[in-house]
Amino acid sequence: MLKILDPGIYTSVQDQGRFGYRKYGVPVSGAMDQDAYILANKLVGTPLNEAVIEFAFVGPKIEFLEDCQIVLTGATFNTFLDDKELSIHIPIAVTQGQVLEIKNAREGCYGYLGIAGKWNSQFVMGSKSQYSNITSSPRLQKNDIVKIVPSNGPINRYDIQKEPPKTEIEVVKGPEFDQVKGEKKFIFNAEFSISKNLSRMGIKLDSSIQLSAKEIITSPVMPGVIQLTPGGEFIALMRDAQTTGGYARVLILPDKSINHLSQLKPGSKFTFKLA
Amino acid sequence: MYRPRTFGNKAVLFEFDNRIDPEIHDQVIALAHELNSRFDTYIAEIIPAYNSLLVHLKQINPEVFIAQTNGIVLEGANHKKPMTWRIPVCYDESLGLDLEEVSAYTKLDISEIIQQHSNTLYRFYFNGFLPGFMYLGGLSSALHCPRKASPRTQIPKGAVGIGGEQTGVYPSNSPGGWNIIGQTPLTLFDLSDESPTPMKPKDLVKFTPIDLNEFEELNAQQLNLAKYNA
Repeated sequence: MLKILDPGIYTSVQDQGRFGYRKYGVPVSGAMDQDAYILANKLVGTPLNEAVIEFAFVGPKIEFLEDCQIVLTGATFNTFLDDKELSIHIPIAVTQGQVLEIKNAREGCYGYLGIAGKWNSQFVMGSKSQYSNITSSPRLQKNDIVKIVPSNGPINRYDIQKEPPKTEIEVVKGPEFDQVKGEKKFIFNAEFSISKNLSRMGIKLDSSIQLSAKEIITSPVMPGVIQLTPGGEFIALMRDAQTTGGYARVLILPDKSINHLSQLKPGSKFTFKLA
Repeated sequence: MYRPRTFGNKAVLFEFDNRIDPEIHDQVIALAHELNSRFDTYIAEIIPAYNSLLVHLKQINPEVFIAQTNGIVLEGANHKKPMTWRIPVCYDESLGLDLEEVSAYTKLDISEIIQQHSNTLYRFYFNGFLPGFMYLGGLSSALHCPRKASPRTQIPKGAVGIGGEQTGVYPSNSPGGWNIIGQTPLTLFDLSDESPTPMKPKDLVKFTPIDLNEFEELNAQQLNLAKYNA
């Protein structure tokens, strides 16, 4: 068990996501950076589909109410266990009463706290991922208790090379790519950047190119779809994306690229590369 | 008739003729049934819309799936009779916050708005936008009314609205820009049930007017759609 002393900017329980309910309009959700999420469970020897705590930009302050084994993955945050600075990717044992303080992100946006054991967080429609109106709360709040029965599984230590944020994001063409008005090839020449308008649902992308596309008859979308609006805005749909939409789907990010894009901070510049 | 195309590295999008039309939607749903019954092992989930269908795949490459599903004939797949679901709506002005605005825009009396809105059998196309939000077809053109210039930050669960050419019910408390003309006391999206809504695409919806007393009584009973229509 652990207690949230301060939830930080946006901290939630996440896992692989909620599949099979999109026909009811329920988003997939799940960890923004799925690679980092799976790595966290791998490192603490927990089933790979078990939940983790995801935090963004400025992380939570957490008190452990019992002994357990933890690990940090994803973005690099300034993190302290009591007064001792912690490194990413190295599982450690914590004891009851210790306080973990995850401060600001040094590199990347989304970090993960993996904990060895069975997570008894609210399980709805096959997933523990928190989402508005599906779980009782969309995210962790101050004084929330996260129930975990700790296990002492085999701790795995790997030599993991931390990759720098990508400056080139691989995409494939979406169904309305050919309907883009303007010089389509500019999409692959232009520099894009992450705007401040971002959430788990989507990221508005900034660019200097002047392209647009007509609205479509409302049709399915999914995490990774990049929409282009009639007004010329590019919006990358992320894990909490709605299930259908009416904007042209001009590009699609393969799974890996969703992970990569999620870790780019506002202002980060990148280009799209056709996979 | 329909055209499949890869949609990222794990999904296929089937597209039909480019318009909103019950007959096209019939084909969308027929294809969904065919794919589900014949290719179940490859399908993680199917998301239908007006004139398109997204198939999320497992254990198969999208190109291979497209080749395997080539030439599916949809005849005879439309045997299931649609259900009609009654949704009680209280159109009292204390709940229909925008009735006067809609009246001013449509030049219809409030009683005519209620009559037009509740006399139609709406077709349920699909869920989207929010968990449990129904895209319904058939709103009388006399009731078409632009969305509000500035959306409300909080619309109560069950609020019935008109936005452009569409009508629908907010399944949960949420922000929204539609004109609110009433409210249903039913829970349309019930997480305590195995399937959160009993409605299937192609089913029909009938809004039935109730007064404030009936609204309060039903509200106290906390019924969901299936229980109310049982």
